[in-house]
Amino acid sequence: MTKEKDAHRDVSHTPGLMVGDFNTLQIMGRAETAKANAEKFTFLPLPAGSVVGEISVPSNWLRLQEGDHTRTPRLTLRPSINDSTLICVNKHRDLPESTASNTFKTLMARGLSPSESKVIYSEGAKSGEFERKVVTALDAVLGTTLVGDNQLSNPYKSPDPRAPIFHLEKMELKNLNGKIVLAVDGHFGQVNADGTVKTDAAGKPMQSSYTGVFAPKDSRAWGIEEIYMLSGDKEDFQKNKAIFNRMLNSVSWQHGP
Amino acid sequence: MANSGEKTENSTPARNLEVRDDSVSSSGDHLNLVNIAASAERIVNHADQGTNPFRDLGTHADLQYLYNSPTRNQLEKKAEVHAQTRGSAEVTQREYSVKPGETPESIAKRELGKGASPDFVKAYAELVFGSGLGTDNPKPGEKILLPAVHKDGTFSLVNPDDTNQSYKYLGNGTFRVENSQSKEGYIQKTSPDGTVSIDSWGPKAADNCKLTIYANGSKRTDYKDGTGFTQEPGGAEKHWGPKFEDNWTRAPGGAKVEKKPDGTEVTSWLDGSELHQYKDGRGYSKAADGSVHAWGPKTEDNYEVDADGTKVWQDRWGINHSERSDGQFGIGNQRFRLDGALGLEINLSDNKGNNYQLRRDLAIVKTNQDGSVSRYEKNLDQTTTWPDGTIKQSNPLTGAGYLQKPDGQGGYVKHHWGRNPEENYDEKYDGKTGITFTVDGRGDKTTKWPNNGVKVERHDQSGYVRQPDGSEHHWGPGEQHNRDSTRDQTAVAKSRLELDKIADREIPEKDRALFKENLNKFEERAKREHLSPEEVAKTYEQMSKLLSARDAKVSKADRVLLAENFAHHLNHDESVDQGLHNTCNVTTIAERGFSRQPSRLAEMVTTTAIEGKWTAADGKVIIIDAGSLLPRAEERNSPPRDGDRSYAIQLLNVVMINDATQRRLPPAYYRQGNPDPARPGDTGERLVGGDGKPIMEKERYDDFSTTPPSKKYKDVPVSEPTLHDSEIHKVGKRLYGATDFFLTSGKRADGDGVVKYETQQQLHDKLIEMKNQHRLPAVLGVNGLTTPFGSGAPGTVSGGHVVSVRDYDEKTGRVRVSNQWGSPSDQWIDIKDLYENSIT
Repeated sequence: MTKEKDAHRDVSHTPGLMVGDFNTLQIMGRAETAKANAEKFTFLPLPAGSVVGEISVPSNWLRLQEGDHTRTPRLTLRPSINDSTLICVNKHRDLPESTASNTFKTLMARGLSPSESKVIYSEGAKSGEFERKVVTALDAVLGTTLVGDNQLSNPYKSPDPRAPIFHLEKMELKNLNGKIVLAVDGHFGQVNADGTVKTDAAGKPMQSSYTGVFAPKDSRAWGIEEIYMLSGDKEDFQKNKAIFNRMLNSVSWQHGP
Repeated sequence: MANSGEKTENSTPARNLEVRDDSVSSSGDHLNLVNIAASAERIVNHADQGTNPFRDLGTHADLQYLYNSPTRNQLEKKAEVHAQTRGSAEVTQREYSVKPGETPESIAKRELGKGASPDFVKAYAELVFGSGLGTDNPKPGEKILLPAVHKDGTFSLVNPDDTNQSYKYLGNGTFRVENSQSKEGYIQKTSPDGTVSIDSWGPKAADNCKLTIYANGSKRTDYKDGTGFTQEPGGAEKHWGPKFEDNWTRAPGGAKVEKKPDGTEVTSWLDGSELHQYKDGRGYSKAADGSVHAWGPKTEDNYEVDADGTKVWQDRWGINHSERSDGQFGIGNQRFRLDGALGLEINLSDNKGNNYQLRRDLAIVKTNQDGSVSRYEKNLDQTTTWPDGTIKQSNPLTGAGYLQKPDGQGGYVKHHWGRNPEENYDEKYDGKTGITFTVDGRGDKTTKWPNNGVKVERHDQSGYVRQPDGSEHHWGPGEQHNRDSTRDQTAVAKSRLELDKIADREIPEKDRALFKENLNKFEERAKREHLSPEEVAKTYEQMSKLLSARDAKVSKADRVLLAENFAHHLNHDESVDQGLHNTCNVTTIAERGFSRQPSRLAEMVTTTAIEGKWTAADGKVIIIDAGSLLPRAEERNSPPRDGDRSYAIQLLNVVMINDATQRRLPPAYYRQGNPDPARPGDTGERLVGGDGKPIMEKERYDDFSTTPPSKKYKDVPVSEPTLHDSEIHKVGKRLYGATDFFLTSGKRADGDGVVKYETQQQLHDKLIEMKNQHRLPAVLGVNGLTTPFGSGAPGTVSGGHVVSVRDYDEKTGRVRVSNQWGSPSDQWIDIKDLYENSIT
């Protein structure tokens, strides 16, 4: 693969979302989809060791410095430096063989056709101990201190400082460009620079909407890559979701499904 | 409307006139205004314009334009009206068509009358034809504008361009030129000797001056404020005035020379070049293109600055340096940037051919002619290593040092010296048996075996032997010297019994068996690895205190978790992991403690959990914030998951890092909270100042709104401990009393106090020595981004990381490394690979 040569290839002609494509196209307005398709994109190769081989990203978005720690290099994009929306390709640390990796491996073994999905948890739908156990078992795959720290895996309730920082709304298995991934929707509580909870004028905790996928490096599920979008503004979140989905559809995997 | 000199450069605004087609001047239907303009243009453009009273009439082309538009009639009418209003004209200003045979002189005489004196005639011709008598005769039919001639014999001309401006000849070579609207004007008088004096007035201070132009071309200008200057034909100027800065000279070549109150002499030229000469011998010249050449008695006084802003100089060793305005700098032939991509070392050579390396810890490493390498540290330690393994270290400040020579069989002999008696001793290490033998200046002999056994024979005939199990036999000339002490397992059994009782009460039944199993395994390891029973007993005593405390900062449930985690690490001292935190630095210190001195860690954890603070060995009290005492999502498991950080390690991390950062000036406080999801990769770690506010740093990003994309920075809170090598070393030294446990390549070192090696052989020797002297595990500085730790190719990227070295197999050349990233990262690594990783 001649990634270097294609590193800055203009891909404004890259096809946008297609009906039946990954994720929730149907809930997006046509205007947002049209804007996303009009956005100029650029192919980026990711470093060796990443699950993602190439991904196209909005050409004009800011790219933040990749992580300087060996286990979690990442690519972060923002429309502007102070925008509350960010899209991130985040390599998690390699997991040892564990309950989490074995659980994910079991789920992956189920197999999914390109248009098929399997809901593991959906807020409001009937769920029981089994769903809680599955979600809890996956905490290390999701990131123990972030998405993995959710209301199913962490029994503490707010305002206890040990309460979960993520609220899970939906988790499902999907087939993204030939690889089975965990797709997650939910929201985080916002925090100030000193780590305290950020509240609005009325004293209500502020939230950041989240949507993302977790992709295993191989069938052992020891290496996990997370591609997600986060936004502190709900309107911005909806507006940029088409761009995020276009990014997801452009992913080519570094390793086989 | 003032006359000349620098002060007047802006007092008469240059006209911004369009260039007109001169061909219209060939038309015969022109006034003499055109002729005036032709001369005026020449005069205006002449350097001596200050003496031309008609200069404000403008250029030839300008006046042609004025003549043609607005119309001639309008101009003439304006001139006539103006002249009439003056009320004194005998002959009014008018248009005249030159007749055949007429000359400037004949016209002047006719207009002025027969009694006109020669100077009036000359002046008239000068006003009408520009250059006075002797001018080429006008062509017949040419239109000229004749001045008004007044009853008193004087004559005047009104500028058709500006009817407020008039030119009047007063006699005796004197013209009066004034502008009735701007209130500017001057009287110009030409003396018989050729001297021209011009007295100017006007509303501005600079307008009011007297200019004298001498026949030799020199000029003198005097202003009413007491300032003035003279100008010589060669360009030399002398300026004066009441203020110091008023007094300066300009050399004949056009240079301006100023003398400052401090004695500095500044010479500046019209092209912008400058020369600055200071009284102390320093100085610099600045060329018109901005380049600078500086000189002076000190090395740093001498440098060049290129036109692009690059500063170039040579240091005292003859090595060239450069510094660009964009932040790049160079030493020798190397180029660097100060944006974080700074190389780990700077290679350079002096003009004598010696090779140097400037290391990131500011140490200088010099390669000598005989192949030896000398290292000069910031603390003045000087260490020279020869190819045969001989090492000499000295310090002119402390006077202490040693010379170590290999014995060729894996051992060495070492001679120490210093100003204090205990610093003077000889040491012999047998590489085959692992036995170390020392004798000091008083004759006291000490023998250490690799199994931790020690024999001390003092010069006063007393001494003792300590067995690996801790039992001792003492002897000597006095009765008090002769005793035996048995350090049996009684203390261990007693403290364990107490801990078990508390555990039965406090630890949930489901976890209790594992807790006790871990303690059993720990006791087995203690015997196997020669941990003293006292060490084990002290550890248990602290754990009992932790579990039984009634009032503590950390809740009972969390203290149970803490005790269970601690017991896990006592049994699995190699599985001490940092989890999702930037704490490899002190996690290695903790791993060493669980291996060798767990009682120190038990005391740190227990004191902190109960009191919310911890007192270091030197009495420094380390305060821990309440949030950092809470187990976070990763740290709530018992036993801790592989690769995750345990709650016990969380507390140890927090205390150890604060033991370093709270000693900084100003102190910084390290805290552990939840990660901020809006900051990808955030671990929840923060450094805050004394005011509780986060300490900020710059985060770099690429801005694609510019072409080409630009590097920009955003303020973000510091989210890692930021410990240097020396701080890590000091934390361990204070905690364990050990000084030689932290190894790092001299090329990577960023602080003092650590054991630095230069070659693979030196790393090999140090590991053998530490293993044989029972001093492992060691802390080793490595590159976490490249193989075998990261995925990067060797030498491609640099990432600071430390690991624990647990063992070294000399036969296979492999090093057992315990990484803090979980069991998949723990591995045997070829010493060659480890060395090469550690130097990049």
